[in-house]
Amino acid sequence: MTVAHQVAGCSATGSGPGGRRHRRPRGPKEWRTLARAVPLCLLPLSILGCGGGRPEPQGSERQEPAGASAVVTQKNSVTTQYDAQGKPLWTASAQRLTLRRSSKTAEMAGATCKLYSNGALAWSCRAARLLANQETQKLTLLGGVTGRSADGTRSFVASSATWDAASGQIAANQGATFDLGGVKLSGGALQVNTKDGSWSMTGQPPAARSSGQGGSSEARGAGQ
Amino acid sequence: MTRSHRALATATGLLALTLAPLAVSAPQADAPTMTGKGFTVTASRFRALPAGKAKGAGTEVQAIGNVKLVSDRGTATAPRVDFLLAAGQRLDRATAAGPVHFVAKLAAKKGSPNPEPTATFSGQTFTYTRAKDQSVLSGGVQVEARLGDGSTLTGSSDQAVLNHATGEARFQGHASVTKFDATTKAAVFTLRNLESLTVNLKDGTIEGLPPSGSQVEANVTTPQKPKSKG
Repeated sequence: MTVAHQVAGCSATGSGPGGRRHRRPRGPKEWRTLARAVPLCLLPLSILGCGGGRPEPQGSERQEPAGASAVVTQKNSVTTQYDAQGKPLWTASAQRLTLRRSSKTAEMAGATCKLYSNGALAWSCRAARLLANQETQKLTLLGGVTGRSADGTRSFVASSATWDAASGQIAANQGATFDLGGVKLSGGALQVNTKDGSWSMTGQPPAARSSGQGGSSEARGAGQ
Repeated sequence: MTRSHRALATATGLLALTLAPLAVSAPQADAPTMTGKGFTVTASRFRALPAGKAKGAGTEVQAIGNVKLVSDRGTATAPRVDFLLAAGQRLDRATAAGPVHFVAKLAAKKGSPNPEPTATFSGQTFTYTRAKDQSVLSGGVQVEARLGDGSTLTGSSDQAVLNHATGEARFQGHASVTKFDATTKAAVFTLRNLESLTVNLKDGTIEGLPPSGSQVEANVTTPQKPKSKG
């Protein structure tokens, strides 16, 4: 399943903000790109494989020549990836979306994403850039990353983070700040699990420390 | 290389050798820190169990590796400390395991010779409970204290219970203490192998004994209860 096919499988509509709502997927691991910008036109069949009769992008979309390197860009998009059961894994709205057909990746600028656990909203995140890999089901958030749990009790700030949809693990870079609603943790690498709510913050591994003090084994075992 | 250069190089080398141990024992600048109302914790790692595995109400956080807890009640260091954070994110309970050191911070009465008495406890386990405002150490407890009356005290017991509000430290099980005079530094008395003994760290008084400063009997070595001394 190519990226182009994913796009074709998506419902490209001028739905506006309402485009955030989820639609039933047409197959496993399906991405849906819902353009919020006004009138969207049909993407050419040669590239996207869409059925006819749909609006074409007007200025908001651009695509390069067909083939393995085909790239589709779109403004004000909403993208959702679903699991095999048709439940949303994540949804991202972005000011600018770039879909790369060959690598099955999407890059989004000015992104806001929602991370789901078993179909229920678990965390919401923001980042300057978001890289989504359809095959690995991983999101990479870069630049001014912030996240907040759905119940509002936890939040974090980091310069970069990744999220693995399969394990539900958010891994934020060293120097992340984690807020437990009054109690703050800072100075370490953060891992938060969107599925079971567990989290950990770990200092740099001993090799990176000059002091060589204890606690190194715990530091290595942070990835749970 | 001139003589002054050699001297400078030697001095630099000596300085480096002198500071090297300090660098090893210095706090980890990159250690994660947890900060809440009235407390700060540094550790190699913090973690919280999955929601379903938490034992009770509140947020349970485990700090592992070179843990240092600093609060308005004192400073505790241990390899591992478990915290229970209450709603409002106050520290409800802290439980430490492994060799634990706890330096209690107390406030003496105004006009006391030592306005900031401190007591350094060491043991195998440590528990602070905010509801009772007390710290409990157990497992070969050793204590060194600078009391509010200016005197010093050393001791040991199986367990020590410190009430932070009153400043009373109750030593239980094979309790032995020696109190030293504030000025002469000489041992005022030694009490050994008692079942229980209570010392007020704020004013230096020992339950059942006259106020500190008045020498009761030097080097009392036979097991006996403090009340028999009065």
